Amino acid sequence: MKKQDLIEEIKNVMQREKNLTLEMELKDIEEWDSLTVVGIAALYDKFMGIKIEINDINKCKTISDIVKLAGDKVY
Amino acid sequence: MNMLGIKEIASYIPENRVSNYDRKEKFSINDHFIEKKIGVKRVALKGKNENTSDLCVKSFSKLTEKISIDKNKIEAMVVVTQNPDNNIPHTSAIVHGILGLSNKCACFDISLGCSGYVYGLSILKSFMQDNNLNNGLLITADPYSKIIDMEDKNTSLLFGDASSVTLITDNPVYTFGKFTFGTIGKKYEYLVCRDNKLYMNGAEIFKFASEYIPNDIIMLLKANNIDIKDIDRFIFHQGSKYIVDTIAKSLNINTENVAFDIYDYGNTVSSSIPIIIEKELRKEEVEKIVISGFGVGLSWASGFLIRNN
Repeated sequence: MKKQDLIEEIKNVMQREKNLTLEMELKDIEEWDSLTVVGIAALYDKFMGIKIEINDINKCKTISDIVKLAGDKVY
Repeated sequence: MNMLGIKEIASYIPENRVSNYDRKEKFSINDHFIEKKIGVKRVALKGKNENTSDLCVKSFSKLTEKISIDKNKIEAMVVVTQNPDNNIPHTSAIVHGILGLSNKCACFDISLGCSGYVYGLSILKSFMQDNNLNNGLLITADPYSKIIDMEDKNTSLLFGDASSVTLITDNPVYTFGKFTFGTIGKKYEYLVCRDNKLYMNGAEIFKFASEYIPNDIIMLLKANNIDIKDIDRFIFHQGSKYIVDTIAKSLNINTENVAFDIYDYGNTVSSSIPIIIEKELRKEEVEKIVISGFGVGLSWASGFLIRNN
């Protein structure tokens, strides 16, 4: 999946209307909450076949960290 | 014999509310979480002295305001609950006594949660068909406030109290197609009541529902030999806005056809689906409905309703 497409999907999972960028800090994003975390785990599993733990998502600080969890599945 | 189906539905939602906006600071949540994620602005709470049977009776009173009911003609009554008045007897017997139904009326409870209404429709339909009965009541009343710790963010922001009653007759507005069912018993601990307190692993319940329910809907459509595009309304269990949105997205269906309306009272467990169908009964244009309940068990059931023209 293209990096930009993944960011768009993450935005949808958040149910966010405004833009999202790699540099953004999660703590500053209004739509970042426990359900978004669960939604991201489901997104990675469904579209990329990647099983990630909720704890690994909770350790992330920026959108870039979330994208990095997809490893070489994004380009 | 005519086809059995849903003739009328009435519901009761207690007036007392607790606002989630008043608990933003306490639970570190914001407006987006309340409105777009859980989709619950206020939860409905029954009165302290109101018991499960009282909720059932109040729904029945509402039903009698909508349609004339001859109590002597009710031949079966089922209550879906996991929070009964007492462990013994079954709540349906208590309700039977309060309403003064006929001695010939069959009564039993069904112990199921969020999948209970859909299961209940199939069970009562088959029971009535098999025994040549023409008038039955399916009641849902599962007041989770009995077992919710109001300090628990996972549950207290979400669940609300309500009840519903569905009149099943041989002169219905909606008849039934085929149903589908399922259970993942190994995951029961994700939604469990221990020592009278409800525990929920919201992440795992979300994962379960988003994985299994879209596939089950596809199976249901196949079983009924109908295309997804021909469905006028999808009524999924109103677990949270997020899960309803996620299932809708997964099925790639138009969100306008997907019901969501629990902002003012919360997730009412087995009552969530009938409360919505009640509103559809008057809409002539809504001919084909898919319903799906999922949760406690972990369990699910889906059904297909067809308007009886």
